[in-house]
Amino acid sequence: MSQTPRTDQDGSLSSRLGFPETTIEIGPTHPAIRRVMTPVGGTASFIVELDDDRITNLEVDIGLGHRGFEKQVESGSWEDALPYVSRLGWASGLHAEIAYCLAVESLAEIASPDRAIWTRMLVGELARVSDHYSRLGATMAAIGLRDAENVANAGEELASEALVAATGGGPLAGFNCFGGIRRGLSEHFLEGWSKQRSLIDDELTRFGSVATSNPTCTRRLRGVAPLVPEDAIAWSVTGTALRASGISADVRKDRPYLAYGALEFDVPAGEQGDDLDRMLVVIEEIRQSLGMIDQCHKILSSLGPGEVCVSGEVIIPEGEAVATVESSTGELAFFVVSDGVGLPRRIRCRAPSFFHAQVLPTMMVGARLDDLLPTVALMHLVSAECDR
Amino acid sequence: MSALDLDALRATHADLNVHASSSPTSDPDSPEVRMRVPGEHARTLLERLRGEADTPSVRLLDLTVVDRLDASPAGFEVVYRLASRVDEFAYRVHGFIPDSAEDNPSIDSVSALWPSALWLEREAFDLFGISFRGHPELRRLLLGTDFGADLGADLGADADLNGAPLRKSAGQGQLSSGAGR
Repeated sequence: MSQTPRTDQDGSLSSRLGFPETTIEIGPTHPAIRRVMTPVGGTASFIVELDDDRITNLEVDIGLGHRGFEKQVESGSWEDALPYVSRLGWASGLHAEIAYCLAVESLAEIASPDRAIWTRMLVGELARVSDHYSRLGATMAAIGLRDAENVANAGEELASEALVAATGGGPLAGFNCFGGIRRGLSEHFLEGWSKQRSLIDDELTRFGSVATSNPTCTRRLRGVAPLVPEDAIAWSVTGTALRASGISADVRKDRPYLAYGALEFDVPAGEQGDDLDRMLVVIEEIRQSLGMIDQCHKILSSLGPGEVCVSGEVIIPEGEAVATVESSTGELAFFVVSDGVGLPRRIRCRAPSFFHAQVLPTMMVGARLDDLLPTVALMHLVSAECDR
Repeated sequence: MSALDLDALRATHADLNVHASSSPTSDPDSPEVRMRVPGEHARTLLERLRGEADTPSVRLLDLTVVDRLDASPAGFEVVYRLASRVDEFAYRVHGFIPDSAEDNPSIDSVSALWPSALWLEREAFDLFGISFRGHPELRRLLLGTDFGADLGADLGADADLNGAPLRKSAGQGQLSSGAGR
């Protein structure tokens, strides 16, 4: 549908009627209304040039949520930065927290206890499940499939509940610290996981019946905003969008951090790099993450309670280090530079959303205006990390 | 990355005055190769690392700046992080721009090699006041048009959180003329 080119020999309706090209501005809106009104809330403002409803030019204007994150965290101690780091995403903030801790830990040459490593993977995958469900919900909202949106939101809710039970406070729990985590998983979570897991799984099955096997949804998303692998590489696209374009690159497989090398999981990849492929990759990743959480849960149950963080003062010497994690938005990295005086010289966050906002015009020119919102939802722009 | 590879790298790029070393990452088995070059050679080195092909086999993962205000000599390091397409290795190239009384800090743009550098260089220009020669559209990205010459590059090591005056006074005229979005 959306890929069918116009065949009117006389050009578009607008040009036949003598209307000039139209430019409209979508957004900006406040980030907090994302869930209620629009999947693009807050992240960016889109200046769209249109011929009829075809996008002839798109300018993405970011920076509305810029709050000087990097300068803020460089002005305090290394520990002071942690609460700011958690707030780089509503669920992917946990991934940022893990990446930052890993960077500082490799600088200070400290190794976390096994219990902390497996717990970090568990909560990271839970955050991914929650974030991926929210992305599916936003996509369904953008194409007007309210029943599928409700199913996805229910899945997100269940995953968030599990995350709260696991960390004691959801994504902003301040769960990680240098050398491990602040507290081990609660008995409440360890005992309740199998029941919660089957509920989360049920929503995935339900989502399949109302969305993936529903032609209203699949035909709507097939062929929309394709991203060819060459463009994905050239524009530094990562995460699910890169994999949907047929390149099965995943930090967890390629450069395993924590103990991902010991986990069994598949990296799904698409073929056409369109919106439908992006959605299918997200759905399959939820399934893979649930399998990973099961594996971590089994190991942690056998480890039992005990030490979760190294003791003693963490001394951060002079040096540089990089830590990269596969966040739910893509490849998220921290590059840290220390002078050895106790204050950070530089804390740089490589935010995947930044690159995904930049590539949008390449994907959207030629598409229809109403393809913009589902594509933005599936590319998963998170204002907090995009603008920093 | 073994020591042998570092020696080979130094030999290959001997004409560019490259200092190569190994730097830790979150995966202990794959440290990054850190290569420090004078700023004027950075683009040449990156072009070699990228390869000749139309489709780059090496991705530009990130581009950022470290302000070496207290180092000797003082200056800016523009840091490029590269990874091969199949992630077999990772490079980090540090292009050093020494402070100079007359000139604005500037370095050659790599946006023709990787389009993803377009916004990254705009961000570095916006927040550090570095000029990227050959960038097609060097203007502010994150900060608004109301950030004029007096506020300037707020990520510099000597800028306080209120946007205090910067040592790079020469850079300010450049910034204000390029400002606006």
